[in-house]
Amino acid sequence: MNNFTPTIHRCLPHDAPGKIRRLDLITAAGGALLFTLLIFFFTPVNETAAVQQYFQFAQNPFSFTSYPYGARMATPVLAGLLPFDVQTGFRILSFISFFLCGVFLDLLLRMAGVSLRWRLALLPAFYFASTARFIVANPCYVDPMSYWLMTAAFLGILSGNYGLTMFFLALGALNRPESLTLVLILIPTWWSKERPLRSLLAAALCALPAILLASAMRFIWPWVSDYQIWKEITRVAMNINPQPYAEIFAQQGFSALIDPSVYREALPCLWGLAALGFLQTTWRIRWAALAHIILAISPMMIATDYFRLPFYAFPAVIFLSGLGLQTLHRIHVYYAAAAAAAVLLLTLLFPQSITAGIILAIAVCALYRLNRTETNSRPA
Amino acid sequence: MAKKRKSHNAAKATPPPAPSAPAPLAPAQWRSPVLSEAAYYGWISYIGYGLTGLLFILLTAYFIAGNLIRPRILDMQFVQRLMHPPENQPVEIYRIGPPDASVYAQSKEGKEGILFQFGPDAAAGFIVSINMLPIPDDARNLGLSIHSAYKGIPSINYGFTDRLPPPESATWYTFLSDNAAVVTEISPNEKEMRYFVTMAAHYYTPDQFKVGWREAKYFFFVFTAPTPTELFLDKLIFVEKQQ
Repeated sequence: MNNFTPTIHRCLPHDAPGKIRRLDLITAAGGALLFTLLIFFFTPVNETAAVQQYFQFAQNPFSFTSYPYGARMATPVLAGLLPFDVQTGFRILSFISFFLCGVFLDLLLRMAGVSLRWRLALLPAFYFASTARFIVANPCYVDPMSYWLMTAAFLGILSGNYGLTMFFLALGALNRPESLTLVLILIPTWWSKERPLRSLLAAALCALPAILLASAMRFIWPWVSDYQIWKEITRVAMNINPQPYAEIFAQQGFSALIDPSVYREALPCLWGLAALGFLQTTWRIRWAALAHIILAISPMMIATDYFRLPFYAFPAVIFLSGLGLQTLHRIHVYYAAAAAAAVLLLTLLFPQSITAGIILAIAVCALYRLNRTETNSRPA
Repeated sequence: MAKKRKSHNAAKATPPPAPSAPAPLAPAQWRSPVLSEAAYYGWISYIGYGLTGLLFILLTAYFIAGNLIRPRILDMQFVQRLMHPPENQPVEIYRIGPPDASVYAQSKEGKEGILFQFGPDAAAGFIVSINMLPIPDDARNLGLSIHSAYKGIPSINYGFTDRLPPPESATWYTFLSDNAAVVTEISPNEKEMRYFVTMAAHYYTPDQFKVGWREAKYFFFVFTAPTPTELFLDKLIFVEKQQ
């Protein structure tokens, strides 16, 4: 395999998978399980505010009652087919999803070369984020499954694994067709100057199943399900979208994007470390992470219930933060430890504070800048 | 204090791993790699292809199952026939409750329907001859959906009977219990009149009614509520689950 030239560019080192030791797997699974147990144990469930569309979908998993909820099928159908009541089904799926998300986040950081202590230090930023706690408290959402599928797809994309990328994109598209935005970062990430056509083809082939499955749910499922009956009864049709994107955009335009309060959900306590990681990594990863963050945030322009959307940037933010911590570690281990402690403190005390996040970001960047200057000014 | 970096560019290309911390507690086999590069880009990738193919198979099976068990509409013009009975067909329509408990009305949106006012002691509804409700001979089960705006805590009771209740009947609850009616409770709405749609979650076979629709002379539906309740009925839809 060492002599084999891959068709596509791989952002992570080629030997990254070989760095995963048994200990890494055990700590990834153990850390993810511990934090998942903690968040599920300490977050009370909101019994009254179930999302009716997904809840009803799970009660009748072969029924297409409304668009676009009827196309987001993976979570409700699995919750409905589990041999428990619907609420318990959603909660079980949510638990498994949060666990898997932690495992994949940990493996992503491991493959990027982030050491164990910093990986474990970053996991709480995901688990104790306010959006994550909201989703745990309100289990009837499709978001938890989207979280781990998106993280796993991000790992597949950065490591250049065709099969994993293809599968996680496809399942993600069945769970939430909006996950197809990840397809857009495939091409710039996998583009190979040596093999341009083949890299484009590889990206297209990996994206194709996801696009086909999402299209099947959008165009074929209404014709083979009870959707026609619902259409007759309720006069609700797919062309009467409950979320008319053009109208919403005309009403709110870019105002959602320039509203600082929505960025409270985008892990502000990690912005400084992410910026440091961004400076330290390759251009290819920079573009991939930046595109991922922009694609996670930009749907706010055409969505009404958008407060959870910025959180979807977490795989890129945590990935860059891991690189940032590693950079600080190269300067001095205490700097990285202090930054990790500050992140943990902010996560637990002020997870939504943009001001505290910016202050920490300035402190982290200043620390890096000062020490870099100091290092450069020393005589050889 | 600060360690000098050897090369900024080298650090940019691939971030060097952290100085490996000694792991005295971890046995040597725990520190052995789980995966090789060949395995990760080889059989693990093939598993991904296989799982993607499996997704297509599962989605196809889901479509087939959905197609097999989707309900079909048996009748959705029932309320319209109640308001405008066919002239060329002998039909019997009996009103349940006082005359003002069910009146023909028009909604703000211009929909034609029947406004019911009922509860806690008064019921409202209709008993109609079975020829008002054309259930196909091949129908094997029956479900009911309603399209209505309501305020209060309504329940819809429906079923079949082969005889009319005595006019002196003090309460309809006796009649309903005698005829083993199906009761569907609608979630309470204490605020403004709103439209509510429900697809029957249960489908009943003829033998589950005390009198099945094949033997019955009349179909009845009665609204009851523990508190004063209003309901504007737009559609009463009869469906069958094809299974």
